[in-house]
This record gives sequence, C-alpha cells and structure tokens, in this order.
Amino acid sequence: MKRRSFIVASLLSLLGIGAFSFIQWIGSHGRAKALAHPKFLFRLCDRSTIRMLGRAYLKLKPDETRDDILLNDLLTEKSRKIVLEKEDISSVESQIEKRVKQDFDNKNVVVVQGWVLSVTEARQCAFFSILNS
Amino acid sequence: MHRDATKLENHSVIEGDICIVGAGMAGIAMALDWINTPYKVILLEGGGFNVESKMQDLYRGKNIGQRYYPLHSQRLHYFGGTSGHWAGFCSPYDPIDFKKRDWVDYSGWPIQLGDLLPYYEPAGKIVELDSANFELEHWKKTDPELAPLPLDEKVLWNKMWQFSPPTRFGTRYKDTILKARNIFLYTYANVVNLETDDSVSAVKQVHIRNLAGKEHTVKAKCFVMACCAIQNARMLLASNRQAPKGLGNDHDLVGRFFMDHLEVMTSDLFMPFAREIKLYYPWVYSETKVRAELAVTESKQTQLKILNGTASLIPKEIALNKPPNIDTFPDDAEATVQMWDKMNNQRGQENFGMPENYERREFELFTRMEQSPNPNSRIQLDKEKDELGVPRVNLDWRLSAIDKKSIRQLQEVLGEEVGRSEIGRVRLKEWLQDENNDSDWTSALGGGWHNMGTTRMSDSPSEGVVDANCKVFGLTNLFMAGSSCFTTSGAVNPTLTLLALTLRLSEHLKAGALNNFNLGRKAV
Repeated sequence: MKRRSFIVASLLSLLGIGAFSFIQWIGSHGRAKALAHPKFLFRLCDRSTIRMLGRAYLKLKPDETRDDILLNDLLTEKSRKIVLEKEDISSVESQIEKRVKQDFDNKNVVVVQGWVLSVTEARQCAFFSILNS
Repeated sequence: MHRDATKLENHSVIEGDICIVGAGMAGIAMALDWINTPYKVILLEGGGFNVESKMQDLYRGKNIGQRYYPLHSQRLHYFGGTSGHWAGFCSPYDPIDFKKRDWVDYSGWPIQLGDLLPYYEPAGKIVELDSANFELEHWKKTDPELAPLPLDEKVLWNKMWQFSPPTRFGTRYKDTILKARNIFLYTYANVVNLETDDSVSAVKQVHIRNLAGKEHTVKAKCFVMACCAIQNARMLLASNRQAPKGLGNDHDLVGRFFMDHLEVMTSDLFMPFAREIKLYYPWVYSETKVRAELAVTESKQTQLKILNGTASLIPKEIALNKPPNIDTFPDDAEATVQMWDKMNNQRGQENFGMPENYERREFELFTRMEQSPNPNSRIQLDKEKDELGVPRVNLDWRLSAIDKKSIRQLQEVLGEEVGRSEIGRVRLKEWLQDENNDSDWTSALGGGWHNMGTTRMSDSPSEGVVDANCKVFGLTNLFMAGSSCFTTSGAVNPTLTLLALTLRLSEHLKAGALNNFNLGRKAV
C-alpha cells in the first residue's frame, strides 16, 4: 500500500499534474503538515501571519505554485520517501531545520513582506498557506 | 577675561593675535588649548551666558528641502553652544570614513584616520570620557556581562560608544576661560562681515554687531570660524562685499554638501532566545557609560557598495512609546535646554526606566546611517535678513538613493546574520520593503542634529572649501573649525571627531602657522 502511494504520487508528478495536487495529497495526511511548520517563525508569528507570508512568497515566486519545486526543495528524495511511507517524520523536520541554517550560511535568503527569511522557511510558509487556504 | 560687547564704547577696535569666532564646543576647545600661550586670543560669542529667544532668532531660517529641525532651535547661540542640549554620544570615526570609495561620490578626505588619532584622546578628556579606549575587548574586561551577540565579525562588528556626562561647555569651562589671562571673551559679539585686504587674499578684520546697536571691529593675524556648519558657511557667503560670491567660494562650493546622519527606526528584531544583551542596552541619560551598536564591517560595505552605518537595539516597549525625533524636537530652544536641565537634575533616577527590566525578546532597530555627500544638499542665503542685517539661510536638505539603499541593506545583513546564528529574525519597516524605491522616505526620518560638510575639506579648491589644515583656499589666514570641514559624515556622531579636528588645527596654528602670521606679540 505504501509502495502504491509512492508510485501514484510519482506518476502524478510525471504526468505534470503538478505540485498543487501533490501538495493536496500530502496535506490530506495530517503528519505531513509538519512540513508546513516553519519552527522558528512559529515562535514569533501567529498562523495568519505565516499564511500571509506564504501567500506573499508565492506571489513573489509564481513558478513555485505551478510545479513541484516547492516540495522538491523542501524534501530530499529520502525525506520524500519518509513522508510518503509514513515513517517517523521528526528526521525530516530536523533536516529542514538544517537547511534553514544552511540557507542563511549561503545567503540563500528572501525578503518577504519585510521579513528576512531563509528560502526554505519561506517555502514552508507557502506550503502552510496552501494547506490552510 | 570677559567683556560684554553691548557695554563697550561704540565702534571699539579689538585687537589680538588670533580671533576665534564662536564659543561653542569647537571654539571653546580651541581657546582652552591656547591658555597660557604668549598670544592674545580673542574669543567672540554672539550670545551671552544663557539661551535667549532673541539670540536664537538670529539663526532662524527656512527648511526648503527634506523635512528638518527648526534652524533656530537645533543649534544654540550662547556661550557653550549646542553642548547645552547635547546628549553626550561619543565614538571615533572609522578608517573607511576617510577613504575614497568608488561607490560613494565625493568621498575621500585629504587626511586619514591616523592623522586624527593623536587628538581623539585629548578630545575625550575635554568631554570628560572615562577612557580613550573604544575596543570591545577592553570594556569586556571591565564588565564580563558585556557579551556580544554571536554574529560573524567579518560582516558585523560592535561599534563602541562612550557617553560624556554630558559636558556642558558653557558651565564646565566658563571659569577657566574667564580666568585665563590671555583669553579675551566677548559676548554679544556677532560677526556680521569678514573684511579682507584688497586682493582678497587675507582677512584683515571682522565686524561685529549686537542687538544693543553697537558695532565694533576685531583685528587679528589669524581668524578661526567656529560657529557651526550652517553659520560658518553663512558667514562666508554673507561676506560678499569684496568677493561677490562670498569668501572662499570661487568654485561655488560654500554651503553645499550639507549632511546629517539619517536616524530612524528601520526594522523589528525578534530574538526569542536573547539572554545577554547588556552590551546593547539602550542609552540612559547620565547612567550609561559605554555600549555597542551593530555596524557593518568595511569589507561588507565594500562588497555591497553601501555607506557606513550602525543599528542599535531599542526594546519594543520603549520604541512604541517613542515618537520620532523629527516630530517632537521643540521649536523653542529655551525649552530644550530646560528639558535637559531637568533631566540633569534627575540623575540616578529612572528617567528612562532601567533597561534590565525591559522585555528582551522584541526590539526595534534604530539605524544611524551616514549620508552620502550631495552637492545639491545645501544652504543658501535668503533675501530676508536678520535683525543684525545678515541674510538668513535656506536649508535645502537632500538625500540620495544610496542613502536609502544602504539603510535597507544594513537591515538585510542584520537579518541574515541573526538568522544564520539562529538567534532571531528581522522584519524591515514597510517604507523600506520596496527595493525598487530608493527615493521615497518615511515621514519619521530625522537627522541627528549633526550639521556637517558645508565648507568641506579637500586637496583641491575645485573640490572643497578648506585644505587638509582647515584653511580656506585662497585666504592665507582664515580657518574653519568643526564639522563644517567634514568631507563625509561617517556613521557616528561628529562631536568627538570635530573636537579632534579642532585640536589638530590648533596645533597646526601654534606650530607652523604662527611664524607665517607673525604672532609674536605678548598678550599679557
């Protein structure tokens, strides 16, 4: 069953159905919502602000709403598998946190509504806004 | 010795070796340096020993450019000058402030920081600083709690400040000046014209007037203008009987390049895990002795092609209750001085609250940014004259795109750094968010009351008004003292640097120039 889910999702991507369907599919699994949880920002902001930041980011990067860049960049192949196969998601969260740090190290930042954010956490906000639209 | 010029016989002639025009911080610092020399020093002050509205009115002028403070109250026209409402912020300039930067038009002084370094320590003594050391490591030894945030030192560094008590020159040095046997202070002695020889190569004498209707003449071998940046330029422009464009103004540079620091709240800083921030505590009047502001390193400025600037942390609860300076600066100079006197009497009390009690998670960043030199930012003479017959000034303060770009990029650098070190996030204020708009400013923007640049220093008369020794090009015996000589504004408040520059000028006059001026006469 797990393997079937993975194949279906991969096929959908390949068929170009796009990120939105994939995101909806992932979003329907409660555990996956953790991906849409920019941990540091949630210490500072409420849900509506995170949603607003996500929308603003997608407006800034419209390409990321049309294909699976958003999730591809949030999830490595390994973590994508973890999510789809419903394994322990904490390792994915920790991997994303590392990527946030790396983003700042590498100046991979974006200014969204004045917030100086790592691109990864901005994508998390975008993911959150889609899941909570 | 002191004489009130309103009580002198009309048309008196006063003679001395050196004439210092203006008894503010620069003028008094120079006079102090000449005490017990064999020279007769004439120190002219337009006002008296107290702030008076009628004297302040002589400074009245129009602001016709970027919103600025009332010209008749932002500078004080009395003995002690603007030290009367000075907050006491002191920090030396950085090496980059003096350098030619290819991304900053008109940058590059003819002197470098090393030329001023020997004078910073005596300047610090004049304003009663505890130490001449501005290194964080030094201060950490005195207080281990002064711990820096874990930011990359190649990107941001801790620019240290010390705070003068603050020294009110008018009270602190009054007795010293009055008792000095070779210093002759004249109050109510407003210079209204500098008269040169026929060839306009040297100042022969200056004419003074006062509101009592008296007129006098002062003759000296050497004249030093220490009236503040606006008045220094005003006097050169107004002295146009022999030089129609004004003295030192053959290249139409006098009054141009007016600068101030751009001081404004620029972003929010959220630091949920902040613990040790004592190093960055907000300044508390008469309590804070030392603190740091976050500054962009020289290499980062070079990489980003931005100006020098610093940011200080203001706890959110203070920031929310603090209206912009530009909205609150009083129109009434007497009220300003009274306000500071009142604070002075509250020393030791929690006049601004104690910083350690503040919430430490949320701050606003208050940015102090260098203003790039801009020839169109200038003062000019108005048609209207003051009560003594001197044309008033119009100030056309103008800012440049690089000024705003630099403010924005400073916030972004701070945002990157607190993110990288996992201690916080930065949110730029709305007026800074559009990176394609470097021309519109927030109404909250103000200056730091730091008037600079109107008789700028340069190697060449085609690019500046004074040379590296603060001598006006084309005039053998006329010097400018103070921040009017600044070629660029630097990031920090100008007081310490203008005092250092004044002491350097003083030494120059004592050493080499004395012979040229033939100042050999015994004063006493």
